[in-house]
Amino acid sequence: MADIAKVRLTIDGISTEAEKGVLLVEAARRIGIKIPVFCSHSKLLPLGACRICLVEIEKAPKLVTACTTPVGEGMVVFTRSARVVKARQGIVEFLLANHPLDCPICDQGGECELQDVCFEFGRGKSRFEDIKRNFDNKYGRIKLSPVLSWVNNRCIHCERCTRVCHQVVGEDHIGMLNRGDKAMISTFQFTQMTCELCGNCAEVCPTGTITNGTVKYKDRVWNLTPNPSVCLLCSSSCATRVWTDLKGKVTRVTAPKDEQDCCDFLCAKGRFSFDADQGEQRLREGTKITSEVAETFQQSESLQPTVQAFKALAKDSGSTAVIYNSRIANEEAYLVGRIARTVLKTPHVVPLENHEGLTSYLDRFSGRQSTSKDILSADLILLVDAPLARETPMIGYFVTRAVRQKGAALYTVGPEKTRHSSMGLAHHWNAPGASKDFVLSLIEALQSRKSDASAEFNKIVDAVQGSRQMVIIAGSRPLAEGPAFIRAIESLSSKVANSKVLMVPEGGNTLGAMLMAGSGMRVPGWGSNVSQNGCSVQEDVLGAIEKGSIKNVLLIGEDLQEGLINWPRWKTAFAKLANLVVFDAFRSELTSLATLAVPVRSFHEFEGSVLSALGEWKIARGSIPGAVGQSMSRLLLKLESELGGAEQSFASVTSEVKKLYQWHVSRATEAVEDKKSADSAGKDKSTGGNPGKDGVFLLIGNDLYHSGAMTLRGAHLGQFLNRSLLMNSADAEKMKISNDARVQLKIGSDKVSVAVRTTDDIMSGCCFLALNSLSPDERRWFGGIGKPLTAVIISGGAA
Amino acid sequence: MISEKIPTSVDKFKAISSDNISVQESDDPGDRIVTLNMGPSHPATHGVLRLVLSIDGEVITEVVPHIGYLHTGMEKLGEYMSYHQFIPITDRMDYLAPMLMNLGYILGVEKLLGITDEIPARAQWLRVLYSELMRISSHLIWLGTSAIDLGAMSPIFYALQDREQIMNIFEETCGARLTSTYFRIGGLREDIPDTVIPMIEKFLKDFAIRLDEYQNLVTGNPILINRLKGIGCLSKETALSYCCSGPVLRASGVNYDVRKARPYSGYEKFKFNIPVYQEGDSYARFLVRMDEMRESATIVRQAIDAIPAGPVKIDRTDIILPDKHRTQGNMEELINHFILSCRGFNAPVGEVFSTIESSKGEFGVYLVSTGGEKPYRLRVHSPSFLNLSVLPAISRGSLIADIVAIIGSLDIVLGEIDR
Amino acid sequence: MILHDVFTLLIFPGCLFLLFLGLVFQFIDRKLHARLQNRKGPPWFQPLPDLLKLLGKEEIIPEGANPVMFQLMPIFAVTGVIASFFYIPLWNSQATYSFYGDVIVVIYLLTIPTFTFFLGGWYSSSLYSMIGAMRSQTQFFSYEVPLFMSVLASAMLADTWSLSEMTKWYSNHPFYWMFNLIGFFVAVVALLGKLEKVPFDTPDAETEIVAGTFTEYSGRLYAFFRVALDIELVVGAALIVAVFLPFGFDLGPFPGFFVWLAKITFVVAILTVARSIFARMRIDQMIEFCWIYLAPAAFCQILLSLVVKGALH
Repeated sequence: MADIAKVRLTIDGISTEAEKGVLLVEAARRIGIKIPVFCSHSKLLPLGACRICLVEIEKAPKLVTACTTPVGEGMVVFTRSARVVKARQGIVEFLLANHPLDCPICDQGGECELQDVCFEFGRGKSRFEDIKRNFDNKYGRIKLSPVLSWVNNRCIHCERCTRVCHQVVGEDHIGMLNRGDKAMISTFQFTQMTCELCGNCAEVCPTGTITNGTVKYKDRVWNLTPNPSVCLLCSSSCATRVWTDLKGKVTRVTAPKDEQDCCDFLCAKGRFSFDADQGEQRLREGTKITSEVAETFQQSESLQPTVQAFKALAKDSGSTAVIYNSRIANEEAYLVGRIARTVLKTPHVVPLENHEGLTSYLDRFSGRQSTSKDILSADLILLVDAPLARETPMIGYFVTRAVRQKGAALYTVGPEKTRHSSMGLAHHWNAPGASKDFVLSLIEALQSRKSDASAEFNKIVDAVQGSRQMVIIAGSRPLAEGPAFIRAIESLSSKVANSKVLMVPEGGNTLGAMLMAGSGMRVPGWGSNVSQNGCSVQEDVLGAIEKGSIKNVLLIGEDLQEGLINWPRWKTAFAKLANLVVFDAFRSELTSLATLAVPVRSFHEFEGSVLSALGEWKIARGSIPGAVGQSMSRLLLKLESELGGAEQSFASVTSEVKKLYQWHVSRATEAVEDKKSADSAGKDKSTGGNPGKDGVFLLIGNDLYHSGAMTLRGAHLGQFLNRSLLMNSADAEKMKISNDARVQLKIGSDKVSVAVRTTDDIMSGCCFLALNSLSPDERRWFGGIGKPLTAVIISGGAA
Repeated sequence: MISEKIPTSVDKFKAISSDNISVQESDDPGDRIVTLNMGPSHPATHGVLRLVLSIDGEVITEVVPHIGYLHTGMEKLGEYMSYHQFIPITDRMDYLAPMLMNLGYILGVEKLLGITDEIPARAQWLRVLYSELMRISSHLIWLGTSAIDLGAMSPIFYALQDREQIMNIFEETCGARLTSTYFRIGGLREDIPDTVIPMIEKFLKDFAIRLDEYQNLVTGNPILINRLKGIGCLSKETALSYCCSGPVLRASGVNYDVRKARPYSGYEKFKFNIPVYQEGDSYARFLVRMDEMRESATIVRQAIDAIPAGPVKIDRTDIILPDKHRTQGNMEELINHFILSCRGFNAPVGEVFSTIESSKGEFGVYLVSTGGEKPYRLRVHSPSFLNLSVLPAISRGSLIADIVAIIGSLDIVLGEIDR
Repeated sequence: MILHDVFTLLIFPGCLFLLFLGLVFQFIDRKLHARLQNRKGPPWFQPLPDLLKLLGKEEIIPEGANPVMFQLMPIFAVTGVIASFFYIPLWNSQATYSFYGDVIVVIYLLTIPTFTFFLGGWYSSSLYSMIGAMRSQTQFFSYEVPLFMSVLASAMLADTWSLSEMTKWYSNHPFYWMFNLIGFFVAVVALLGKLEKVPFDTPDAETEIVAGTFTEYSGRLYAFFRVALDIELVVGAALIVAVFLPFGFDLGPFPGFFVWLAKITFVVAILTVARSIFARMRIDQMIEFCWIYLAPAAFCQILLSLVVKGALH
């Protein structure tokens, strides 16, 4: 990339230089001069609405707004001249004229940008004698969101929230109604909002107009301590600040505000699940239940029960299985893998989520997948069956920004029209499980067009051919199609110049856990005495337990029971085991069944590093007071040394893990040069299902707000539920099912009753089910990810 | 800097418990030196001061003061409080002259902010008025307690009576008798009520009579003179090398008073003398303080006669809290009040050292600011600490009864020493 | 007869009456002291509750102290002062008991309390008590001689060694006691020293050595010491009154009693005023004062008495 030309200018007498196109506000900030802003935000397009950032430029007749003016060669800028000071005082005075005296009761007090700017740049003495404008109750205090608090009186019309909604969240829910001093922010017709990226408008609001309603009146910001952490609820792995109050209780979660791209914003799940890991549902004491004794112990006090249990596991290593899920940090996964192979010496190391394609993705694409910068600078984005807004909203955020702020072209492919489809140029209907076929046909079409292709397909082919920089993003369903899809994608990417690939798996630290502990790991020297023929998926383990070849199981992770498919079958199988050791943060039937249940830290409290889908390495400090026990990594290290392994410090584990990742990246780079795998792409068979035949529908049941039982554990997220079965309207008409009717779903031998919502956003022959509407018992079918289930819809009648 | 009189036998008397009698052989065979602990809780040690005396019969051979019993971490607290929040803490340093402590700290902060010249004239004048009243009050307490240490049990009741009048004046002004916190950064908390001036006039009238009686008590009392003359002689060189200040220094012949040397808060407009005596013994220190009371009374008289009109607070909304009634109806004032109370104002980067003449000596504060609302370091320069450090040097060779007289004449306050 | 003796010894004018008087004059002393300091002072019944309170408190005997001596000293103090009272003429010129030489005996008995203070402090094993005890002994050597000499002067003028004889002689020779005024003042000052009141209270210097000899005493033992001090006040005043103000004995029992009370009150008042207005003298200054001023004054009194006696004959 060519160097951007630099421009020299002088700000307040200090000579500096900046790249062409950089705004004055940014240039001043880089040399430590603070220019107040309200409407300007580093992630939003400049607006110039509030006028507080006025500065004086020599030889310019009027004051200019620094947030819309890019640097110019030879500019001489004054940010503290008398004219500027007077202008700022005037702007502040006007802003405060209609502002209500809410400071004592406004949650934003103490972190309010209006307060800070007015204190520093205002006159300090009020001249306003009239009556302030007041939105009466009908309009001003409507509950526009279940979790946000709205007080329209405090609005200073900076329009950050509407721009965030349009450019970042992509929802277009809120806008400015009326004009003049009656202008107010609202949704169209005052409906309630339920966005997946809920809460970002509250985060950018400089006043207390929109605030986080779940912490309303709870505490003041100076009593809260921000603890840097990483969200483990999806593979965006956003950096967060977990705020704890003086007693150490987690009060709220916000996004950090610094330079990295994924900062300043969070999704609803990351923001509003702060109460999900509190209360009675947490496992706080270990339990040891054998035939002779049932006792509890504190994790911090006694290591002995765990050591003994592990010794029992190590004794017959051939019949021990280790199952982990994706809600653990890299170090924890690494140690689990190491303990499994070197101490327990077992070949069965199984991830709970089934990512068949993930191994080959990691092998081939580690380190060279698309990053956030690639998405933002792309001019063509292709979403292949990737419902980003539901599964990994913050990756969807980059796509939204690329489309709404940078003008990238967006095409979506898949069995349902996602939210991003509404800002895309075209949507191509593709059956679930047939994403590989789509990619292969795309590769073919690039060479020779077929006449029976749909118009949308042709548009996509044209766009791909004409793109300068393309990013292909695929979700968890294509991943579940296995290595074949990876090969197809790789082949496509090699044929299109300047293209990048991004796989977005569901789950938390999916990539990191898989990489560090997964069976795909082939570190030389490890497990050399252990056979490679272990179980690779949880169904294998279940079969082996029922057969009797596996007698001990170690389950490590968080919220494990939700990930086990067909829990009743697992329950009977577990009853056969000699030892069942469970490390979990939440109580469940599984933990009460276990012979040893060890409490571990939850997704807010953990300590370690996380690998995001975009290849970023993020670190959580684990500094929250009141965390249960010590972090899992330290516990596992202690266990290892007690069981005969070498003593190692946590710091050296973190560096080892980092080195391991870099080793993987280098292996992936070598694999690229291997051309053989690319050619075999075309030979794989299609794995697509047959939707709609014989009243059988393909059920595609992933929902962001589910993700384990996390939604239902927290009180706030539960308000965002969508409890219906989404059906194609044509199919519903054919089967004579009306909107809001209740139907019965037959899955396997079980029947489930749900309400129906008809929509055109889903492919004929497919339907989508929001899992949170089911009871835990009914939910048991959806522990797996990706593979669409088949179900029969039986119309009529309640269950 | 320290004179060669510091003994080498300090190591012999480390931590000694209160009911041991350790009889040790001293360097001089035939002498028996006994260690006596005038423990922290003692009627005569002004506050919680522990003195470990080694006595030979009644003669003292060594005095080791132990301090720290009243330490409350004020300087450390200062690093966690905004500049405004720290003012009540200064009240608790020399709790017998709180307004002077407030003034010393506040002048330091005003110097840091660079607003020393903008303080309104009325505020400065009233500051001088109340400082001098405070000085009289502090000296009255000193007089009463020193007399009672020497066995004269009656003067303290009369001194406290006069002090009651001053306390009532303070209560009328700001609501608090002792820990007043009346001065603020940028002026005063509020203007004085009209009822105060007649009270001060009455006090001055009564005090003039009483002052003569106290003078007589000191100069016309042979027993007192015998107890004080020639006791605890402090030479000029020793006093200067120990950094003594205040009446202790002026009784040893050094004409140094911060009010004349580096006038602050409008003191240059007042006419008053500085009493200086040459002898350096306890009697001279007594006389200095008696004369100081007289001078303070004249300053108060001059102050009452000509209080200038005007505001009592500087006109800087980013430093001063707005009037409370304005915050309930006006937005800017509410915001300013919120930010100033919850965070404090932003101080510029810099360091200042600023002192005043308090009743005990030169009191001041050394402030280091790295920007922000809280100081980086708040170091208090306490005169009692330095005055106390001279105690071993001047009391070697005197009797136990003299120690009490000497401590009384040094006039120390443990709150200021220990902080 | 025995009953009468028992009544005299124990009730009136014996122990109980003496105790009662001690409390009364303690009150007068405290009230006057307070009024001089512009305070209100205690109510009239205060000394009795104070005594009862002390009697009810716990006695703590220090570890290193000699328990026998420690506990005996207060008892000896009380005994000594009570014993000396019976030889002093009160409102009659004849004391309850008298014999030739009882002046010496009375003065001797009055020194017993001082010795008990010293021994009590010495056996307390506390440094403060020891310093107080030393000071009390040093002080003893200073004031005892002038006191003895001034009483001696008065006795010499009356030409007898018995107190009762002395008072009878002075009753027969009215206004001769005016010659003893110097001695009166010397005796009052010396009495200040004996009672350890300001300006001679270095043994009990509160602000210097906590409580001097009495530092380790508490409870009943301290109560006894306080009682001893109160009674010593009455006895000392009674002695001075008997020796230097011997008039008003012929008025009969009732008026005489009140005259006697008035005289005692006068002496106590002088002591109290001195206590209120003076500061404390250092021990060396006290010795200096006693030997340079008091003793010569007493000596002058003796000379005067000799001259007058000579003139009489």
